Amino acid sequence: MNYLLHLLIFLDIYVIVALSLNVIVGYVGLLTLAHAAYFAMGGYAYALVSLLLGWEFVPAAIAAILFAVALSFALSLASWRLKGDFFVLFSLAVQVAVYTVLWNWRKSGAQPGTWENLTNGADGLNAIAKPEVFGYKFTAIDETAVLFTVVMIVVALATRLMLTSPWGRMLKAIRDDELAARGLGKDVRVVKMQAIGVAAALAGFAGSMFASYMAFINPMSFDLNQSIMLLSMIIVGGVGNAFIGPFFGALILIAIPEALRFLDLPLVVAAELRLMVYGLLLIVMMRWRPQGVAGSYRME
Amino acid sequence: MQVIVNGAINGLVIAVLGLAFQLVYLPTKVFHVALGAIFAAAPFFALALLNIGWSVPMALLGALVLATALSLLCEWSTHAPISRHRGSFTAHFVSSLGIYIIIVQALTLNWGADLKVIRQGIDPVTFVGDVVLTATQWWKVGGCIGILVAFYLWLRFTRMGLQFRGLADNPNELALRGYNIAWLRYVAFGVSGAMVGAAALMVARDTGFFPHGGLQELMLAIVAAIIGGRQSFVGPVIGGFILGIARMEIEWYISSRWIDIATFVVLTLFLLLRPNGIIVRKARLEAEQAS
Repeated sequence: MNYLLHLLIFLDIYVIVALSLNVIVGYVGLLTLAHAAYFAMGGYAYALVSLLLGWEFVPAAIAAILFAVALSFALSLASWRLKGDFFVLFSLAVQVAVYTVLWNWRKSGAQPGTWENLTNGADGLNAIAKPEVFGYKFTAIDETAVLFTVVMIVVALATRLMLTSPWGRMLKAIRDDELAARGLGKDVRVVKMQAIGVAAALAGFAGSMFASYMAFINPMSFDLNQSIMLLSMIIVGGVGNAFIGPFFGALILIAIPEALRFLDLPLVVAAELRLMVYGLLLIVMMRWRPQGVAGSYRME
Repeated sequence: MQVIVNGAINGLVIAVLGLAFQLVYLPTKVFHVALGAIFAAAPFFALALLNIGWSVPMALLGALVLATALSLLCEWSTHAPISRHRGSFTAHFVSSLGIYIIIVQALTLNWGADLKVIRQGIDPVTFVGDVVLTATQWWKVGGCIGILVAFYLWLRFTRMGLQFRGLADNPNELALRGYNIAWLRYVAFGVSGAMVGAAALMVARDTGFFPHGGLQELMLAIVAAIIGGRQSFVGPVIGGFILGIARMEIEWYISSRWIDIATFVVLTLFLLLRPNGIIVRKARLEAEQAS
């Protein structure tokens, strides 16, 4: 039972990440490989604020969101000038920069969280506070699962509200024909900045959920492979609609290892096979179903 | 001096990788991410052939043939069909990412994720003035210069090289003149795979190899192509050379910790300030729009 609850918590977290990535890829039409970096920024900001200042879940998560949004300007400013492969490369640079900082901001012997040893490198940060809302601590796994599921539903509804509003339609217009949107007097730069900011905020929030649930984070959870996996998740699930595509992407990501359990394979083999199935799905989707399992925008 | 020489030798390898990436990107506009996986796979092919009793030269040759075949397989199975359906950059990029994941995971599944070595014992060294060079570094210098010279001679003086330049310049016009574009694309993928395979074997002899090691090298190749210039076959070589020396200087004088971040700061500056790189080919506006 606990294992199923654990899967549900991961599903909740990854649905929020997928929803956030869907805003950039499915609505702005930009491929990014930096999403794990924003996920990481949220996780680390939450961990540091809760460890050093003793903040509760809500204010610490807000701090994580604000930090991720502030750093989203790096990607936003690039989106003004760069498109296609140039933007992908820039996002790759952001991902590598964040990962390198997380990995290298360490000094042996110094207390983790101090200026000399802010991230503690590969050893990461541990003993991160469990979610605590209005003085109630969610320590049991079933309580955390309920909290995170409610949070995921609220985030999904809020995202849906945003993406089905005139603002969401404007994003689609920019994605489909940026020149035409500009011709209609829309401030494309500001709208892109807003969209990337919203995506970073959601990813940062998911990062704080991840850190609070795991109680430990290190850079390996947020490397380039993770960014590739996140991108794969929404491409397989589908982009361009407000919920169902990203939800299916996250669900498939969680479901594949479970399906492989029935084959009674060793754990290591199952992990590698899971990624192979994902790679295969990417090729199959691009060839025969570019809109993903449940998406509405063809990634061609 | 030693630092500059080491950097220049590493730069030669990056130059070959950058050229291999450009070789596919310039004529086909395919972002061949799977080259990273081919880089990782080539030494494993050599190791497998050595393990079944092949001699070293035959195993290396076999690994090169298999790397070439793998690259051709990428074109045949994925990129050619997507191009026939006029797929976009995204479709090619994501598919190539898929191929990368499959190959790397297959390597991990078969051989494990840990570092492997081909070279046995200590690498012999020679002194050239104050500079110390290992046997592997000599192999790198000879191999890379040989590859680059052979490629430019082929590109400049052969009939197929001329067609290839035509493909990079304007594939539509070349097709209208009756040339077999599909065949030339296979040549691009094949030569690219062979170049990456050769570079991978040289690097593997020096520092060892592991399944996830290809992506890092591919990123350097892409950065070299951007710095040098994406509109020519000379740009990546110049970019690779500069990058190799710059990275070694940073490693020596600052810290090896920040070497990747410095590389990507340079990439960012080029992307934002000079996206066409150092070597920029002047062209009429309508020609740029057509390409």
